[in-house]
Amino acid sequence: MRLAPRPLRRSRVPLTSLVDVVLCLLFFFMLTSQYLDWRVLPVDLAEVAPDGAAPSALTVLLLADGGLRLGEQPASVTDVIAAIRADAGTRPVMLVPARGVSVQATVDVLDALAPSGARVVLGRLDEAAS
Amino acid sequence: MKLPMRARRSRIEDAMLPLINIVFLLMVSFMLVGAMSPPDAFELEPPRSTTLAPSDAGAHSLVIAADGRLGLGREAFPPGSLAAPAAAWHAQNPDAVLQVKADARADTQAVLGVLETLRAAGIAKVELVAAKAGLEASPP
Repeated sequence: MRLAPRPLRRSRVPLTSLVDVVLCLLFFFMLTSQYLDWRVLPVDLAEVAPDGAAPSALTVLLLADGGLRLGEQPASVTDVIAAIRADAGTRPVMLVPARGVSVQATVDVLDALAPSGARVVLGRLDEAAS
Repeated sequence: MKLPMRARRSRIEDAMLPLINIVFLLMVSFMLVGAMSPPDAFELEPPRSTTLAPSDAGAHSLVIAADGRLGLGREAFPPGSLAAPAAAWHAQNPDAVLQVKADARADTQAVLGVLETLRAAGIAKVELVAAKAGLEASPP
């Protein structure tokens, strides 16, 4: 008996079901992934202490209206950086935000003080409710 | 002209190849760009900063909402009730790093109070984190 030659046929992956699976995977990754790039703020949290506990630090008060006070005097960011440079960076800077100062305002001041290269410590005013 | 059924099907599948290529590329890009991490207790608007250090990308995070609500992992707590959950978390994860994610509108003194509570609970490895400025996307 002579068999007829089998027709040549390419074996193919069923593309429709492949696309279904890949689209499901795509939606899964789109919905479950987080795209925010969280980074660490360059601030020393180990020495967060009540106000006055670090007399050797250069104390900078951040007011609720966004102004700064260096000691008792109103100051700008430039004044604070100049004071840090005059101090030759020997003392850390204790930044004490007043009540009502948002985290973003504090972060903005940290960003502004970053070029000075000083070590910044955040200070508490008193026992804030946690 | 009427094409045979098999030839028409083959032509449709050939036309799907570019679609599959694009969907594959999109999937790979989402896998590489996004980070798979457990969801936080609630969403918040992160503070933006230009001077940031790389994070250890810890899987554990404490979120602080603008109104003072707290979330440790997936559990939410009212303000002032963090001490016991923080101590329990520290007992379960003695060497883990805890990332503190505060809302940009939260009171800084309240955040510092939370950090003080964490320290009192024995948690020494704490990172205060912010989002890199310029990336305006928010978590889905």
